[in-house]
Amino acid sequence: MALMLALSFSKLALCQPVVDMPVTLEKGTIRSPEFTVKHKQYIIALQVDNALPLGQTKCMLGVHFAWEHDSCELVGFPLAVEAEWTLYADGQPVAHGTVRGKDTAWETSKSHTSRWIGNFMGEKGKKYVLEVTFTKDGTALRVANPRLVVELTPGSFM
Amino acid sequence: MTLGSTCALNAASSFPLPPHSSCKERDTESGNDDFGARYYNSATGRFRSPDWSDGPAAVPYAKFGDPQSLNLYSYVYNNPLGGIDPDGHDSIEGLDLGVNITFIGDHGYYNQMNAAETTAEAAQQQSQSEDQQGQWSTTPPTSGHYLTNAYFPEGADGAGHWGVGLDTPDKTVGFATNDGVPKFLRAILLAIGAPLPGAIHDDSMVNQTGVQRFYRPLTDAQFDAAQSAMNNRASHSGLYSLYFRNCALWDQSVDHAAGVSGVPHIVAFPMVLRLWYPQQ
Repeated sequence: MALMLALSFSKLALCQPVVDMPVTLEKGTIRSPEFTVKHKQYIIALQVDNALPLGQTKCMLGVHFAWEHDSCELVGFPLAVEAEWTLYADGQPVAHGTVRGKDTAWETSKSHTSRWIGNFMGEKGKKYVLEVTFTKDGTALRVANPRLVVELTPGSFM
Repeated sequence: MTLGSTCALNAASSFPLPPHSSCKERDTESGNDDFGARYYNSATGRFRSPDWSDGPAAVPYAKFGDPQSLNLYSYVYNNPLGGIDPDGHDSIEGLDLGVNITFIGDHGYYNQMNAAETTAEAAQQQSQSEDQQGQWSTTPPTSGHYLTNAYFPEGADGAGHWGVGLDTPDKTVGFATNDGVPKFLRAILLAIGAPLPGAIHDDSMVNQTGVQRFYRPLTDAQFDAAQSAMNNRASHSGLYSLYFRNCALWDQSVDHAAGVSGVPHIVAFPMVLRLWYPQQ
């Protein structure tokens, strides 16, 4: 039982994101290391630790809960993230997206909050690189340890 | 009105509940705790207003055989060590692991997992009766607040998924494990009901094949209560367990906070791992 509990609560390093790199959110372009994937659906996310109150994190990351009225302008936490991203497979661009305004694609857990900025179907055997150009200074979020993450689409939605 | 944010878990509490032991937001001016559906006053050990439900009921959430449940102002039937109250309605008592059947849709059987007390057939009859009253619809209301329950038959790797939303026809929110666990290991851990890291997420990445959505009008008070329940869970996602804290129960908890009966669905025996609900 102790082993099961340990497994349950641990991060289980057997299945970490294929990309999990810190980003400064300064204006400019970053490129991920080369990575490979399985033939599965992946999501691209900007993820931060829950170091700030959730309301503040949501506003700055551009996460909008669909059931709430947007009050970010009233509480004074402006959006901190604007970016464009391109995914390359074997050197060729295969997917592209922009991060503008607020979006309802998100996930929040005890440890972190993510804004999902894109997704793609992986092809086994190809070598991928993700390039992200931040067009707005988002260093106000640096305290929350922002990261660029590529991981399997959460599969267990039960 | 200002709200305090400190709270502590309701463990080994005396009664009335000591300050902040309910883990709910406290209005620092009135000293009342916001349970979503109602305010609780810890000084008197009572809710400030009687319990209410959307459906017609002489005594909402009353349980035959338990006179304490007739008191609409009491907290957890005056037995805070025997259960919890997540939203200001009714309470969740200690769960009985008889047969792992959970169903949604009937206040009287809220969150019961003991097949001795009911059966799936009874749940189905109850829910069909409610549906015949026109409380749920497959088209969203054209005005006013409303609740959305969505079923994704191909979600969760084909096991099925439920999501819940407010005032939006298709933007629902679900509760899931935070993944990061290999599939084979996850299946084992889920089957034994082990707690896994949970996360609240929007359902945009869930397999959208064959999605079925159900809508129900809400009053302003119901909407506020449901919104409070959703915010609480988003702020404290907690652990996921296939039997005790799954997507269906998340859905149910929001429905329940709004005082309405949910769309019926059943989590069948663990080895099946398929959400099922009666076709209408």
